[in-house]
Amino acid sequence: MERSEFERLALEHLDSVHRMAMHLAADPDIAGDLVQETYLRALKWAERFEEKGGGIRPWLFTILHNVHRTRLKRESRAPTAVGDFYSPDAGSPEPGAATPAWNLKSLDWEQVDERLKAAIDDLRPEFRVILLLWGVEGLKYRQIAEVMELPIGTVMSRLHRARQMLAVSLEGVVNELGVRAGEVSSGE
Amino acid sequence: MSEQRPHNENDRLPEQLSVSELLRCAADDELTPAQQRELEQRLSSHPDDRGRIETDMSLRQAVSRVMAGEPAPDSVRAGVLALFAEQAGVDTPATVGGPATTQRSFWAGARRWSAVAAVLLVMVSVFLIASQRGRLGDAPVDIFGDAFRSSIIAHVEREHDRCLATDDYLSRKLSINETDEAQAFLTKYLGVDFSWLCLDHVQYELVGVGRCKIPGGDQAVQAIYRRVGEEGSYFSLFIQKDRETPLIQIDDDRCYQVPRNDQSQPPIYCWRSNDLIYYVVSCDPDVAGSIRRALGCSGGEAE
Repeated sequence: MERSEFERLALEHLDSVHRMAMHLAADPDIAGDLVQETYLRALKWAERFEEKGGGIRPWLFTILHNVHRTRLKRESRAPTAVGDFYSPDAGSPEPGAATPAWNLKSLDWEQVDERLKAAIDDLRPEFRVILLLWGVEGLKYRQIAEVMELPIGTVMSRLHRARQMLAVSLEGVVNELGVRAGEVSSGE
Repeated sequence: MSEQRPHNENDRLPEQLSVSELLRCAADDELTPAQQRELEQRLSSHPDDRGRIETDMSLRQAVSRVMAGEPAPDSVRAGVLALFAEQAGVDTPATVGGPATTQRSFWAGARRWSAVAAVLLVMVSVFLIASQRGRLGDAPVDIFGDAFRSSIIAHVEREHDRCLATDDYLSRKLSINETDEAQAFLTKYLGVDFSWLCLDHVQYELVGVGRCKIPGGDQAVQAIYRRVGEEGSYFSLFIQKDRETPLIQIDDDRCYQVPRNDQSQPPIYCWRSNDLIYYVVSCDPDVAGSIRRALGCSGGEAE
């Protein structure tokens, strides 16, 4: 791929990369640094880029996450132990917990945007990042797995639990709005 | 469902899905043809499950809507474009096309010519450094030899020159002017003691300190000092957290000198100490030595 073509493609996804950097860093300065480092590495490794059907964007996300991980490692921020995810204080449902018995389908999402945003912000990073790669960036499970360097089953389970946690967080809103309950069929 | 659910292969969807997984994968358009047939059978006997699929699709749309955020700031875009230009060495901004370019105020007016000048500077620097570079003495000859290191030097040169050329730029960028305040900021930002920052004893006073973005992405700062009683005699000090990568191949505590492309311009001294990389742009060859002595560096002065 020509360098100019590579730069053009990479720049098309600058907003996405910056948005994810902001979610990862929660600090505009650090996010800017992450983006800069991501594009620096992308340029250095441009020859290694292989089109796998998803374009350049998942590859940029992969670099971004590696840069972020390296930064965290340097700053000695130990990753949260998986066991902590199930802590009663963590506010997350047990793995495999049933979907709340109310119907999100009938929710007026326009009324809950702020609550939903707050609920997403409250998710642990391990869940939030996967949820954002899925929901905002539109990545497929396989692409998320590559970006996060996780098995695809882990991506699926974390995504499921992120959705569960959002549902739990939004339960109060549902009650306030009087959304009808039930109607989740069983039979698994 | 387990976090560590076993699969045949890590990069493939599991072939056997529970009903919940089947419905979620349907909402996410992730089903294989066989699973799609399984879904259709399921829906024929459980039509209410369509609601669960629609719920997940609604949630995804809502997540996308509320978390879409703002476009990248112009400063970030400008930084990436400058990085491309610096890395290319020969490219011009015009080669970077596409939709993103339509929002770039960075290239408008005088700034555009500054950036073009920076590119030309890199080109000349690469040539001259290739023929003249090296630590005085027995330094590795390839210091700053590749595009990455050249981009660092080009950045240091440019920021030093811009700060001295434009008072407004200097005052905005290096906005911390008091030594005590600067010491506190640097200590917090870079995580090491900066009690040596006052250089009154060698007749230099602090003009200002502020953050900068030296290529490489780690925290970096720039400080400018002025020679007491000598109008127009300044030097710049850049400090960057060490990336701990082999990209900058310099020995600890040894001082290197990089000649400027314009011999009338002050040279750049560089060294690594205590996980920080220091760059000094100064006509005064004693400055780097004074700072290194204040830091307690071994290995002597810039030879």
